[in-house]
Amino acid sequence: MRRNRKFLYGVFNHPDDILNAAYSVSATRNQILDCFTPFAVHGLDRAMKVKRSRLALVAFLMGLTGFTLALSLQYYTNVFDWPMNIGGKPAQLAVPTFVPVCFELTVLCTAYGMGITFFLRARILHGVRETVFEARQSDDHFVMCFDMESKGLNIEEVTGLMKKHGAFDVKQVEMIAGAK
Amino acid sequence: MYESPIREPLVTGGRTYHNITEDICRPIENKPTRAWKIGFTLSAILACVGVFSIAYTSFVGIGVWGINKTVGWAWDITNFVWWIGIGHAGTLISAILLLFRQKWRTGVNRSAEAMTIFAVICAGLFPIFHMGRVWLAYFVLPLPNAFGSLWVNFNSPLLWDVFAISTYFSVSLLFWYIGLIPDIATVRDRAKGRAKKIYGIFAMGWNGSVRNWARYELVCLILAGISTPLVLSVHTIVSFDFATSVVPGWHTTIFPPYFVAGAIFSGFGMVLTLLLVARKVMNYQNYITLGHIEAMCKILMLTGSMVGLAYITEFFVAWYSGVEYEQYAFINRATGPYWWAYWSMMTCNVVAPQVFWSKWARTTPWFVFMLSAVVNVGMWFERFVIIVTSLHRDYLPSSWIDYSPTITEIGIFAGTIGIFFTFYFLFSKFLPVIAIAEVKSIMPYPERPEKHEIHEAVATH
Repeated sequence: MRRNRKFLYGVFNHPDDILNAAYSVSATRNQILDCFTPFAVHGLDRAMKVKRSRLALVAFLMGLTGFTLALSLQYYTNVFDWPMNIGGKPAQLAVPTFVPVCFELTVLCTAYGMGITFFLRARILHGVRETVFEARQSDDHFVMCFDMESKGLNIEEVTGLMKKHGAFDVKQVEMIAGAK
Repeated sequence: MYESPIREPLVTGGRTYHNITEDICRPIENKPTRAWKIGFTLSAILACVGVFSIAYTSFVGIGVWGINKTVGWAWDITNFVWWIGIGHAGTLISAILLLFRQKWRTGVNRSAEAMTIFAVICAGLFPIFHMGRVWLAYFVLPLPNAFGSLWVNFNSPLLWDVFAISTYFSVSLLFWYIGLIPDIATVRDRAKGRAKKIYGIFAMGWNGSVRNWARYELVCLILAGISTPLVLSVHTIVSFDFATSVVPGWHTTIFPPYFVAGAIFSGFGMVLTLLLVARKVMNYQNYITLGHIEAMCKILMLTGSMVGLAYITEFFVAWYSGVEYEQYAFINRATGPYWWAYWSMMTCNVVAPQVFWSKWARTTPWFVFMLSAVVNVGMWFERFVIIVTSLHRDYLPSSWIDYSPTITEIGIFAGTIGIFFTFYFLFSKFLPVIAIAEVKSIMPYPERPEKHEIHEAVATH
């Protein structure tokens, strides 16, 4: 269910300001809902105590799948189903000649398996409504936003902290949010 | 604590974040310029010549090419290897330089990756149409035949090529598109009306949230990690097409590293050719600085020297092996009927890049442009020399023959150049040519010198 929700957000114009603000707010009991930045501000995820992504594990498992797929395909076709006769030698797992295809399919499955998981997990999908507080949040503004319906949000405190660290604008808005 | 020496800034001209967005979005938001229209029209006409030549080949048959029983591979495979090699620079810049944390790559990686994709499209056309009956091209897929279970032969490097090239194309496309998403979102947020809708479809709801940036960076890092061995494997496998044969001049173990170095060499040649023009025409001197050009010239000189070393090693090994077929193949290359191709290759690839020892040569754009064109020509000749001169003097003197291309072959080659530039012109009009988000993340903070404050904040928490 998508419905209108109320948000409080502050706008910064320097990555260091939003980073300082994130550290200060995290030290209080207030919960930052999300920050929106035009580029990856390193350290912001740590300041907000965001958990590390497990996409690397997905990539590894997908790579393993690709490798198994390639090896079984080559074994089935060239050894089991139609044993390849090369100079009368017994058809068997010809490891050296199977390496290139195993490698390529490992890479292909890793890339696409991880890529698709990334799209699904990050909700980068066709038809997703983007959460845009400020049109310039993808240009040169850095937005920090709070969910006003969450319990224990001290509006005055976070407003004060954001202003202290250089937010030039703090606003409340009611809108339908897309991806969290 | 060690502090590294101060480097030249990667973005010059005191640009702010907003300036960067404006500068890079300007060509997309404005009407196309006269230069763009003329360039696009010429490329499109050339592409049509290619489409016509390809159609003619498909309808009439491979007989319209100059190839024959002895020289069965000629311009087609030469062009295939040439284009694939050109593609390698994009992946080198976006993947290998990312792993080595070479931040200057951010100014050039987007167009280099685009170039990779277009070059691989051009490359793929050649083996497919060389099949003759192109409607049977699906035979290269691992499908059993109609009469039982005869499969493709996984012991053949030609089949490895099918897997390598298709993986390379797919992974490069994914890497390029994931990199583009934040920048498409920037264009979307600035656009109005129909453009907003169209860019909105391709941005797929990207909003730059912290969690997504963290995932995005991780995905890019892993993609770079797997693309690095991938790009090396692709040209290695291309070289196996030759190296696993028993043709004198092809049957050498030096081929994989030699081909990879050559691929990166030609790729950087093409990157420089394109970017030196783009930088001038689109006014990107602040993003593609002389420092970027100099760095690429150094890579050009390094890989050029590696290629030169490989040429000399080949000659030495032919003599040292004592195999007279091998020796004849190499003497014939340098002094036989195609001596002019061999010496063009030597001049363009080994001698010419040595001028980059001089700083003046590395930092003078018009000179670098000329040299990059020379490198492109030289690398084309390298593939021609390897392929045609090795084949035209067979084991049987009765089948010795000379080869020259027909007008159809020339048309297809010219056509792929047209296709490549048509795609590039479209890309430069509709997508951000420079990675906006990445450039912003590496630029100096002009307005706030006191950034040490942040390290204290991190340390206390």
